Parts: sequence; structure tokens; C-alpha cells
Amino acid sequence: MTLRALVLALGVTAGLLAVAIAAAQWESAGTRLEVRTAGYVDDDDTQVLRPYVAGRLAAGPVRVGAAYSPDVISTASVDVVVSASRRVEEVRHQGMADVAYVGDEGLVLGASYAAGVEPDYESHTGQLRVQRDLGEERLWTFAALASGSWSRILSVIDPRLHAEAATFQLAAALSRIFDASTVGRLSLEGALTSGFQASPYRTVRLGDFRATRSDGSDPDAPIWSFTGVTGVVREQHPELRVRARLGIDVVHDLGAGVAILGRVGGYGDDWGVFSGELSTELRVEPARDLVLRVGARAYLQSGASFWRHRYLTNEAPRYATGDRELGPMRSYALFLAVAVPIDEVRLDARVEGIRFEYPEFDLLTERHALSVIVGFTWAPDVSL
Amino acid sequence: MGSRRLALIGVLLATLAPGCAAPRAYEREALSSARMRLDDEGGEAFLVRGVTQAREEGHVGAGASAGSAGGGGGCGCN
Repeated sequence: MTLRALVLALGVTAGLLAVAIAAAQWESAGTRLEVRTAGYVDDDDTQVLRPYVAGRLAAGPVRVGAAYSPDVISTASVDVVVSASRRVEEVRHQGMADVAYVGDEGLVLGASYAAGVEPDYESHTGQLRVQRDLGEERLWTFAALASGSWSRILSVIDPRLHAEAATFQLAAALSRIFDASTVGRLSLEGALTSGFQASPYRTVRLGDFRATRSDGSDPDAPIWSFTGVTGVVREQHPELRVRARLGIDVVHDLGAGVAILGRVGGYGDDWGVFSGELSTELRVEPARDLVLRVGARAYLQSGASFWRHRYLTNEAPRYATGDRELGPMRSYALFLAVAVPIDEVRLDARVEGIRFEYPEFDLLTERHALSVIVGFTWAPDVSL
Repeated sequence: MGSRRLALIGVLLATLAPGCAAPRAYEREALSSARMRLDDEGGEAFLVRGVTQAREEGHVGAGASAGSAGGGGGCGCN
């Protein structure tokens, strides 16, 4: 089934490209190729390599694009070693195809399909979107999208598990040019997910247990050992989840080739998770498209209503989770990025350091990560 | 778990959307410089969301902007 999904995704991509190639004379304006690779390492023994390649072709008012991004993961994180007790290595595949019509007055009509395929997971997503400038002076721009997704969740350790989930999403954004040096945007997103939303691998220990990490002196000893556990249950999450997020972004030109970006966002859902994020970015552009960026971001999150530091019960609770990211957490990030244009190509690099804090998850109260993204974009009309 | 994965798919969908993420201001001369973009470009937004912000719950999907999502796996690794 997963192979079929991958073939379907690649087939749609190839088909759209073939139709577009046969139908029109290609134009350089709007055509581009983007190739990037991200590498991630953290002190929770996780490494990720994620390449990304995307292409877009323009023919008159039509844009046809495709993207592909595999995800290579190797990890012996605390989540893995307390359950599987060995390193997990996995490759995931994600691909998409997109077609859009670009008309007058900023009109964009688009449709997309994306598929994600993993050994134990498969998803298919369709999306429709529209964008248009508003008003005589076109100082406002409205954009909206609607999408539907279907997912199948399997387990490599439990062949009996065949779960499904569906998600419907709506999003809208209103952008505004305030003056010759300031642009802003207000965005609102909402989503409803129904179906299996827990991890098929994660279990939850009951009781006021104590966890001890091995010092490594006994090679046969498990990395983590537990005492005081009164029971173990499978992770169980509610099957319905309603989520919403509000975001505001503003960019202001300070003059002399320097601009500052500010972002603020707030999120809430009916599982009781609420979060806020604040980020800023200073951009220096000493020459056209030669851009140096320095940024910082803070993210704060409350725990879900059913998340517990300890489940002090001998009976299986209705909902229980061992997902530390559904508990209280904070993250802080600093990054540095540079873009260097060379004729029709632009080279990009970004380095980011992140500190994660899980104040009530005593198996891992903090985590530090480093991420590096490098790549290039080729655009024959040089309008990157 | 699945919602984080789906959200990442949403960001992938947004990476190629021509003009969907940005106001038309980008195409006007006075505000057309790279330093005035509201969003990271498609690939950068996708990779930042999918790699460094993958385990945050406070994202819904791609939205009408090109960046607000997460990702992650059942192994709890990323």
C-alpha cells in the first residue's frame, strides 16, 4: 500500500509536468528550481538528514510545480530507548504536485496534492487556495485555503493495528501595505482532526514510579529502569481535536538596506494545549538580494488537559499520554542566515541553535539541538 | 503524532504556491527587496518547520502563509 501511494504521488507529479510541457511554451519568468538539505543533531542522540528539491515551470498564466523531500532519521532518543530499547532508523518520503493560475489584480487560483509515505504511516492531502488583491490601490491582499487529509496509521511491531484519521483545515490571511516601508499580515487557521491520534508505539506507566538511568557499567542493563510502576497502558488520546491559531507578521524597512521583522502567534485547542510564540529578525541587504539575517525566537506551551507528570491510578485512565511534547514545554532559538546571489543562482545557508525545555518530564528536562540548512535556487529571470 | 506529520505535509503544499504566501507588495518596486519578505522561502520554511520546530504542538498547518506547521514520527524521535 505504501508503495502504491508513492507511485501515485510520483505519477501525479509526472503527469502534471508532462501536460504542462506539452501544452505551452515555457517562459523564464516564474520558472525556478530550489534544492536544499537540512541536517539536525541533538544531545538526545537523534540525527536527521532531510533533502528538499522543488521545481516550478511557468507557461503564460499557469504555474506547475512539484516537490520531493525524503527524511532520513537515526535516533536512540529517550522516547525510543524506554520503549523499543534500541536505535530506530527510518526513511520517510513526502512528495507533492501543484498547479496554479495567476491572473490580473493579484488573482491566484491553485490546487495541490501531497502524499507522505513511511513504513508505518501514509497520508494523502488535497488543497484548494485563492488569493486576490483588494481595493483600487491594491494595498490589501486576501488569501484563503481549504484542505482535506486522510491518514493511515500502522505499526511495525503490531500487524493488527490499522487505524485512520482525517483532517479538514481552513485558513485565511489578510495582508496590508501600510506605507512605503511597512508590510503586515494577520492570519487565522483552524483545523479539525478525527480518528487515531496517539502513537502506536508509546506506552504510559501508571503509579508514582521512579526512573533511573544506567551508568553504563552493566552492558546488559536497560538504559532506563523503573521502580514503583503499578501498571502499563497504551497511549490513548481523544479521537477528536479542534485547533486554531492566530498570527501577526510585520516587516519594517529601517533604511540603509536594513529591515526588521516581528512575528507573534497564539494557538489553542480543545485538548487544552495553549501556546504563544514571539520572534524577531534583523535583515541587512548591502546589495540587491545579498541578505544577512539574524533572528531569535521564543515558544511557550502549556500541557494538554489529560497530560500528567504521573498517572496516580491503578486503573487505566480514559486518556493517557507519554508524549512529552503534549506537556508543558518551552523552546528558544537563535539563527544566522545568508543569501548570496550569483547571476541566476542564489546560494543560501542557515545555522540555528535551539534549546528545548520540558520542566515536568523528568526523563528529559532539556534538549539542545543544532540545525544547518544549505542550498541554492536557480531562476532564469533572476527574480528569486 | 499524526497531526504533526500532516501539518508538515501542509507546509510542503505551501512551498510551491506562487504568490499565496506573500502580499503583492513584494512585486511592487518600493517593497520588492528580499529583506522585506514576510515569509521564509518555500524550502527553508518547510525544513525549519519539519526539522527544528517539528515537535511543537502550537501549529495548525500551512495556513495562508508559508509557515506554520510541524512534523515528527511515531518513534518520538523528531
